[in-house]
Amino acid sequence: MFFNLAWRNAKRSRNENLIYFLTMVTAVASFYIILSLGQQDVIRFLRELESSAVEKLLTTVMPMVYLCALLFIFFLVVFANKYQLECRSRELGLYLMFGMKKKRLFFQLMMEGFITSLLALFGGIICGSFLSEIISLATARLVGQGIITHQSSFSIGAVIWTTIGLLLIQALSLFILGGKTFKREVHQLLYGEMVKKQNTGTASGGLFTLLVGVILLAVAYWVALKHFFAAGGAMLFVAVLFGIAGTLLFIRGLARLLSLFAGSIKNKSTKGLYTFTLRQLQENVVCKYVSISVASLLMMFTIMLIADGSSSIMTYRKNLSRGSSVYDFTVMGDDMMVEQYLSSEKMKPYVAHLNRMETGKIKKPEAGSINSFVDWSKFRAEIVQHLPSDVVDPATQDTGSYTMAPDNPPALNILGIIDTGSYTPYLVPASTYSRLLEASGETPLILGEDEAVFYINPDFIGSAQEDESSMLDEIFSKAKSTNTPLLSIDGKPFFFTSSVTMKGLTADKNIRVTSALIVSDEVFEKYVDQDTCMVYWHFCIPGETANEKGLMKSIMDANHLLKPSGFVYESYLNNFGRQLFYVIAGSYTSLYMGFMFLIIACALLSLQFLTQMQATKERYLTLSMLGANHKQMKKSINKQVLWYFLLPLLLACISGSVGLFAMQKHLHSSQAAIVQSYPLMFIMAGSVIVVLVIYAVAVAQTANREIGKLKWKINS
Amino acid sequence: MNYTDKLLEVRDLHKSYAKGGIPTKALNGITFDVLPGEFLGIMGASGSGKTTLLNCIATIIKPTSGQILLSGTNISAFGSDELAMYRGSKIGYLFQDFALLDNLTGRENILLPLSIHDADVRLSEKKLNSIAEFLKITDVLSKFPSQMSGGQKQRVAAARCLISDPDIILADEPTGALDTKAARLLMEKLQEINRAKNRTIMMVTHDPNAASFCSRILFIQDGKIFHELRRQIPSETRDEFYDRILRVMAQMGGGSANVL
Repeated sequence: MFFNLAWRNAKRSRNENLIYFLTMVTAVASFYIILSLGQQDVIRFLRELESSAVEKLLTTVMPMVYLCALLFIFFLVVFANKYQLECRSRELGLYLMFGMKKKRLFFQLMMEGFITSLLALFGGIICGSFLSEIISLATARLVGQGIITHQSSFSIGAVIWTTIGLLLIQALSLFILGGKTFKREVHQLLYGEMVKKQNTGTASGGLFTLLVGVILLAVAYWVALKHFFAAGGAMLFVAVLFGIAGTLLFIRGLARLLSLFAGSIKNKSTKGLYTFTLRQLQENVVCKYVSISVASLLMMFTIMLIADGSSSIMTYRKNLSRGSSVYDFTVMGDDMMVEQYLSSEKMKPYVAHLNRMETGKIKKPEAGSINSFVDWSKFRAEIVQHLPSDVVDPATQDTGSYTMAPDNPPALNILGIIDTGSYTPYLVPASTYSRLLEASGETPLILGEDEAVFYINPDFIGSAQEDESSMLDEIFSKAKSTNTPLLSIDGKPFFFTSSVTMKGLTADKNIRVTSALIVSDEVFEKYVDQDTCMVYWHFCIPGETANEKGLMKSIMDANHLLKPSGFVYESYLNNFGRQLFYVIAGSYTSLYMGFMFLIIACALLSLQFLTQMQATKERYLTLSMLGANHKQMKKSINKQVLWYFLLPLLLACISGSVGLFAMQKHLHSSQAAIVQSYPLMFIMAGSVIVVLVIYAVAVAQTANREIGKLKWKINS
Repeated sequence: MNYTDKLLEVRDLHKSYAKGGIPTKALNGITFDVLPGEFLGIMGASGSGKTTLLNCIATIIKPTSGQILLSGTNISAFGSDELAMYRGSKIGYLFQDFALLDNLTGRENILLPLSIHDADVRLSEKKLNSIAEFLKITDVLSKFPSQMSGGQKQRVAAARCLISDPDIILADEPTGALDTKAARLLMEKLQEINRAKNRTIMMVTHDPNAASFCSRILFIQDGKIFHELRRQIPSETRDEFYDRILRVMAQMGGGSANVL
C-alpha cells in the first residue's frame, strides 16, 4: 500500500510536472558526461601520449568540475522539489489531516523521490551516454585527424558515481525541504500561504534603481574593457562585483518601471489582457528579481564560456595541422648509439631520410673587440625602409620592445627577429637543410661560400608568413642584382639566397629554432660555438610503410619501438597529442560549464515562473469569469513566458558581448582565429537558442495546461 | 417596468453530482423567472443548492438538465466564445471573496472586463469615473487590493460588475466577508443600483439583514423552491420585511407549520 501510493504519486508528479522530471534527467545526463570523460576516444588516445597531464586532468580538474556540477544541480533539485512540494501542499495537508504521521509522510516523500530519481537516472544515463557518444565521435572527427579510433564510451564507474551523486542530492534536498514543509501549520498546507502584499514601489524609486544599475554595469564594462589586468587582477574583481550588483539593480528597477508602462499607455491599457500581462510580468520580476538576475548572470557566463570554448577548439585545431614540420621523429642521444639503433633491422621499416642535424649558435668574438661576428646593419636598414609610414622602428623607441604576430606589418616582424637574436644567431649547415628539403620533396639547397639563407621558422609567425617571404625575396633579389651584400660575418660579405622554402627543423614544434642563418658547411664549422651545439637525428616514416599501415599507426608503432631505447625523442604525434590536450582541456571544460550554466538558468527561470503561476492561478479563474476566453489567456501566458526569458537573456547578451570583447582583447591576440571559429560559434549559439526555446515552450505548455484545469472549477 | 418581459427564465433545472458514487441532487427541478429591475434574493441552508443555482446561471457549472434563458436566449447551449462574451458583458458576478486581481490597481481591476472585450478608452474612463464616484472609491482607484479595506474591495468589485453594463448582476454572499458597517454600506449601494439605475440583481445570501434589501426572496431547500417572499413596496418597511424573512427562516429550520 505504502509503495503503491508512492509509485502512483511519483507517476503523477512526472506527468504533471514535466519540467521537474526533465531537470532531473538533465542533471543525471550532465553528471554522467563529466564522469565518463575518461572513456572518451580523445581522452583515451591522449592517455597514451600525455598520460601525466591527462591523469592530472581526470584526477584533479574533473572531480572539481563534478563537485561544482553537484553543487549547482543540488540547488536546482532543491528548487524543483520546492516547486513540487508547493504544488502538493494541499495534498500533504490532507494526509496529515487524515492522521498520517509526519515521519511516515516524510518516508513516503523520500520513497517518491527515490522512484523519480531511479527513473530520471534511467532516462538521464541513456541521454548522457548518447550525448557522450556523440561528443566523443564529434571531437574525434573534429580534431582527431582520422587517427583516433572510436570505441564505446559507456562507463560503469560513471553510472555508479552518477547514481550516488543524484541520490545524495535528492535525499539532502528532500530532507531540507521536507523539514521545512512539515514545520508549517496544517492550515497553511491546506489553504496556502497568505498572498504577499503588492510591493511594487514607486516609479521614481524604480527609475533610480534602474539608473544606478545602468551606471554600475557601465562601470563594470569600462573596467573590463580598459583595465582588465590593472592592479594585479583586483580591478577585474571590481568589474565582477559591479556587474553582479548592476544586474540585480537593473532588473529590479526595470520591473518596477513596468508599472509605469502599465499605467501610461492609455490606448493599449484597454486592449485585451495587456495590463494584466504587464502586471503579471512585473510581479514575477519584482518578486523573483534575484533569481532572474542569477539566471541572467549564468546566461552571460554561458555565452562567454561557449564562445571561448568554440574559439579555443578552432584556434588549437589550426595547430593540430601538420604545419611545416617535415620529419616524423626527432631523436637525441649518443651519436653512435642512435645511428646504430635507428639503422637496426626492427627500425628499418620505419626509418627513411635519416638526417643528422647539428645546429649551434655562432661564436662570440674575443673580449674587447666587436660585439658580434655578424653585422646586420645593411639588412636592417633595408628592412626599416619597408616599414609602413605610420610604424616607427622599435629600436628608436626607449622601450625597444617587440611583438611578433600575424597581424603585424611583415617588416616589423622581421626587425623583431633580427634584433632579438642578432648577436649570436643560430647557424645551420647547408647540407643538413638540403637533406631536409630533399626529404620534403623540394629541390636541394646548394650554397656558395659567400651565400647564406635567412631562416625563419614558418610556424613561428603563423599564417602571415607568406608576406614576410615575398618581401625578403624582393629585397634579396634586388641586393643580388645590384651586387650589394646585406650581411657580413667576421667582416666577410655575404649575399642572401632568395626563394628558399622554409621548413620546420624538428619533428616537434616545441623544439623551435625560430630564426637562423643557413650557411655552407665550412662556414658552419668555422664559426659555430661547439658548446651550444645540439645534434638531432631526424627521420620520416617511409612512404610504403605509411601507405600500408597509415601514417599515424606507423608513427605509433615506431613510438613503441623507440620507447625501450632510452633515447630522448619527440614525434609529430607527441606534438599533436600535446596540442590536442590543450584543445580538450581548454574547450571541453568551457563548453561543459557553459551548457551546464544554461540548463541551470533555464530550469531556474522555468521553476520560478511555474511556482508563481501556481500561487496565482486563481486569477485566471477570475479572468475567465470576467469573460476572458482561453485564447486570450494563452496569449497572455505566452507573452509573459517570452519576456520572462527574454529579459535576463537580453542583458546577458549585452554583458556577455562586453565580456567576450574584453577576453578577446586581453587574452587572445589573434583575430584570425576568432573569425575562423564563427561557424562553430553559430552552431553553439543555435544550440543555446534551442535549449532556451525547449524550456520556454515547456513552461508555456505547463502553464496553459494549468489554466485548462481551472475551466469549470471554482476555489479548487 | 414592463413585467411581461422576462429577463431570466429558469426552466426545470436539475444538477446532480455523481462522481464515482451515488448521485447527489443539488438542484431538483427549479423553475422561476426574474423580471427586469428586480432585486431577487436566494436564501437557504448550507447545501440547499442556492450557490449551485447561481453558478449555473453564471455558467461556472453546467446544469444536468433544464434550461436557462437570458432575454430569451438559452445560455446552456453556448459555445466557448459565446460563453466568454456572455460572462464579460451580459452578467456581472460579485464574489464573496471579491476575486480582485491583487496585482492590478483598483482602476485596472475595474477596467479589466472592458479591456478583455477591447472597449473604447475614452468612454470607459468616463464611465469608470462616474461609477467610482457613485460607489465612493475614487481615492482607492490607484491602490492595489492589499492596500484597501474589505468594504472598499467589495465596492471595487461591484464597480467592476457595473462597468460593462450587464443585464443582470449575480452576487454570491457579497457581504459574507464584510463587517456589519461595510456590509450595510454595500447593501445600500446595491439597492441604489437596483432602484436608481434600474439594474436587475440576483443575490445568494445567508444573512437575513442583507436579504431584507431585496424586493423578492426565493427560499430553496433540497434543490427545490420551498417558499417565496415579496416585499410590499412602498408600504412594507425593511424592518417588517426582515421580520418576515426571519419567520420563514425559523420555519425552515423547524420545518413544521405552514408559513403562508
